[in-house]
Order: sequence, then structure tokens, then C-alpha cells
Amino acid sequence: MKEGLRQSMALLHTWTGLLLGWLLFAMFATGTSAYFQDEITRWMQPEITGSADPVTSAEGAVRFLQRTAPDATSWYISLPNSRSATTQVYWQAAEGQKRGKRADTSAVLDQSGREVSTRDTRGGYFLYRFHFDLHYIPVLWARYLVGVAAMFMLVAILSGIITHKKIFADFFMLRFNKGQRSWLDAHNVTAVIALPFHLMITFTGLVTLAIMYMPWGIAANYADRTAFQDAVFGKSVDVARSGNPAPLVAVAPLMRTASAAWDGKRVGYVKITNPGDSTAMVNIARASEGAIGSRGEEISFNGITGRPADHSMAKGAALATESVMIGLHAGRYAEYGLRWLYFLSGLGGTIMVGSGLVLWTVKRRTKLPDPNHPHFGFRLVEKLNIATVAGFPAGIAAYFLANRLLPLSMAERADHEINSLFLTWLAVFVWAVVRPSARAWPEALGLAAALFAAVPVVNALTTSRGLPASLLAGDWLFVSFDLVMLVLAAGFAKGARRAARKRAEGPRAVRRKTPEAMAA
Amino acid sequence: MIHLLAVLLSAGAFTALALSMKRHQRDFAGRALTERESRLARTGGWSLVGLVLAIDIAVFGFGYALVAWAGQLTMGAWLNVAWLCWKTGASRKN
Repeated sequence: MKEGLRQSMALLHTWTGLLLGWLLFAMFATGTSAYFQDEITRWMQPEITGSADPVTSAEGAVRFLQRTAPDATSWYISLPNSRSATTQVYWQAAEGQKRGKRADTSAVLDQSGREVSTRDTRGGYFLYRFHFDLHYIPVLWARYLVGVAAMFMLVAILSGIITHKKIFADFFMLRFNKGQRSWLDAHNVTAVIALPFHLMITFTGLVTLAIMYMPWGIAANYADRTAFQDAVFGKSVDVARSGNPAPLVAVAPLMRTASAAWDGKRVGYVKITNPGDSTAMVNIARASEGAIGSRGEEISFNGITGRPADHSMAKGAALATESVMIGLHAGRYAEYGLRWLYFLSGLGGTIMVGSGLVLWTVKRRTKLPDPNHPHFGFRLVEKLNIATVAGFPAGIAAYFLANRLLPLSMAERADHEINSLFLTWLAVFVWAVVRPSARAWPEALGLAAALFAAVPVVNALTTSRGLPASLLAGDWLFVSFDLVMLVLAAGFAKGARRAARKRAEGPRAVRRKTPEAMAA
Repeated sequence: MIHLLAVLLSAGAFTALALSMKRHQRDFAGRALTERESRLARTGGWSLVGLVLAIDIAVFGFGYALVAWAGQLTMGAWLNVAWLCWKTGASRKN
């Protein structure tokens, strides 16, 4: 009976891990990069230097918005955090006005409120969004697909624990380089050592979109989504403009008041409704780096007098739990030490998914009737593995390279950066399909290594912030970025060398086996 | 810096815990340990795990400390695996 359970769990582990494994790999890789999304964005906007003060930035943003969109329904000001230097502003066009494209109602500002002139890029934010919104497909579909993948992941982790519970007793047996088993070792080590992280990240990832995946609780208790929102977050008060102009209160003192109420934590977000009207309101929210919980405290002020006008409700236990879970997933509260721990654990998770995918083929290859001519399903998995495990990271390197190499004046430049990621990914897939797998592996891994190694080189050639210069200037963000690229390049180069060595040994081993297979 | 210290202490904790297990004593210490030494290693290992958490709580406060602790233990375990790999690799060459 017990053996039966273990066996069925092993089966579950194998197939839930494989079916959406390629998507999970891409999600894990981009999700991991998202821990440094602000840093990636700064690297991809090399024109911007220095840091920004939130209060000065808010004043600058208000000046910009008063010039640009004085009669908007509302202004949203996303202030720089301690890791970024720019302010994002969005505004909602006045009632009756046509809603334009996103670019027409948003801007990126420096702290004095001038629009920054930098290359057109979506930076680290794109990689962050990709890990749950994907690209080229409707966001709604993407999120369902991602949700199913995450549920599979959770099943794969739990069934993996049950199947291999011996691994805990054998914890100190974990190591690499035990010959033929190197893929199994990589899978076991990365899975077990960061197991608390894997469980946390998968479960809390599902929690971020829980209401979308499990809408029935709300459907059974509330008339509609708005009724739910009002009951949980407090009724949203949309006051129409009175038409009586009145000057907007200065934001800086309100920010200081709010900050003081939160033990000096930074302000992250300012929303101003009906600016320039006598009904104006200023809503100030705590920066997400201030505490683990992702839903921060908020204070509302009268937009003319500056007196607090608090409508926000105290959070219930369920909402507070959700807030902490999402915060734990996104890690926005983490300072650099913990951020690196998050990043390294995520990297381990990416290797866990990748090595698990490869393991599927490694375990089956020897059992194939004719290892030289595997059946279609096996070949498909093998090709997709090459395309994803080597091709997707190669695509990310291409994304960074495109940021430096595409002409600055190019139309839709940011989109072309993104396209270069997917074109590289596609190219590696095509390459994997036309080449024999044993050759395609080292070639594709070698390509990924070359592209990652090229990033610091191209950066040094195209900007004044190359590795030697940033080392001299003590610009640790650029130094770390370039070094991480080199470490990734070294990792892929090592993988390519191993795969090439395997190929040299491989055919002989297969030839030795074939007569036996034929005899059997 | 505090993370670095905590990771090193965690690595020490895992080494001590491995030392407390009969079948790993040859890998880590080169010889079998006595009953008393094994017990000492076990107590010492768990105490270090607790000490790391205590340091984290003192520095970061409870919630943040729990997350940091999990991450530091993970990296400490990684250091042990890396050390074992390096050691087996080196002994194979000899």
C-alpha cells in the first residue's frame, strides 16, 4: 500500500512537472530577475544617474502634472524608492475627453519634474510583468495559464517530497559530480536546499491571483465585485468636480505628516483626485519597501486645507494575511542582503525546474527501444528542453543586448527589445529541431554563454559605464549587473562543455547497447 | 554584513549537525567520533541554528528575521554542499 502511494506520487511528480515545465522555467527565470527589476531598469537606462528624494520628486511631479493635465480626473504619482531614481506619473483624462493611448497619459520624470530623456525601454518591469502576464497573448488567458502552471508546480513539489522523503534523512548525501547522476543531483540539491523558498514562492504566487482563480467565495456572498471591494477596502468615494477652482495644497508637508505617522517610513505613492478643484483629495500610501505586508497604510487629506480625511478601513485578519503573503512573494520590503538571498534561491528554483525537465529525458533514454531513433514524444520533449533551458536565458541576454544595440531613435524601440527576446528563443527552438539533439545541446548552451558574456562587453563599448569605469566610480549597481552576466556566462559555458563531453562519450555507449536491445 | 555572519554561522551549524551523524563523520572529520563528541556536535549544531535566529530577531525584528533566517540557512547548506563537492573532487584527483 505504502509502495503504491509512493509510486503514484512519483508518477504525479513526473507528469505535473513536465507538462507545463517549460512555462514554469520561463516564469521562474523572469520572476527571479524581478527581485532586481529596479536595478535592471537602471542598467537599461544608462543615461539616468544618481538617486532621488521622494518629497522633491513629488513636488516636481505635481508641477509637471499642473502643466500637462490640469483638468484630469485624477493624478497617480509613483515615487522613486530607495533603489530607483525616477517618478512614474499617470493621469486619468477628464470626463468627456477621449481616453488616449497609455503613452499619452503617462510620463517618466526626474526629481525636478522634467520628463527624462532616456532610451525607450520597458526595462526590468517587462521581465516582472512577463512572469505572470506573459506576452503576445491576452492578459486574462495568460494569468489562467500561469495559475494552472503554478498549481502544477505545487503538486509537483508536494508529490516530490512524498516520493523522495528519504532525501531529508540523506540530507548530507546531497552533492554534485557523482558521474552519471549529475542531472539528478542538480535537481535534488536545488530542490531540497531551498525547499522552504520553493513552497513559499509557489503558494504565495497563487495567493496573488487567488480571487481570480477562486471567485466563488465572493460570488456567493456579495452582489458583485464592487460590493466586495467596498466592504473590504471601504467605499470608494468618487466626488464629482464642483467646478469651483481652488489651489491645491502643498504635498510636501502632507507627505512628512504621513511619513511621521508610519515611524518615518517612506511614502511610495500619491494619488490626487480632482486637482485644482475645491473637491480635491490627496491620498498618500506607504512605500512597499516599508514593511513585509504589500498593502500598505494609507492616509487621505483634504486637497485644499490639508486636513486628514480618513476613509480607509482597518484591515481584517484575512486581508492582513493576504497582504503579508503577497509581500513575502514580491519581496519589495527586502533590503539588499535579503534581496540577494531571494535572488539566489530563485536562481536555485530555476535550475531545479530546468534540471527536472532534462531529467525526464535522461531517465527515459536508456529505456528506449532504439535510443538512436526515439519516438516523437521523446524528441518533442528533448527539443523543447533545449529551446527553453538554453534558449530562454539566451533570449534574456538578447533582450539586454538589444537595449544597447538598437538605434536610439528607432520607432517602437521598447517593443523591438522585447521582440528580440522572443526571436532568439524561437531561433534556438528552430535550431534544436533541425540539429541532432546531442549536438544542439552544447551549441545552444554555448550560444547562451556567448550572449551573456557579450553583455558587459557591449555595455562597455556603447556606454561610458562599462565594467572598468563603473569599478573606478564605485558604481556597484553596474558592477554587480555586469558580474552577474559573467557568472551566468560561465555557468552556461560549463554546461556546454559538459554536454559536449557527454556527446563524445554518448554514441559509443549507445552503440554498445544497441545489439543487446536488438537481441531482446 | 550581518547576513554574511549569519550565513557562515548557519554553515557551521550544518557541518556540526552532519558531524553528529555516524555515517557522515568520515566525510567531515576524517574519523568516527565518540558518542560524547557526537552528542556535543548535535547540541552545538542546533544551538547555532537557534543563535542565528536570535541574532536575526535582535537585528531585524521578528517577521523579517524569520524570512532572513530561512534564506541564511539555505545559503549555509549550500556552502556545505559546495565544500563537499570540492572535497570529493579533490580526493578523486589524488
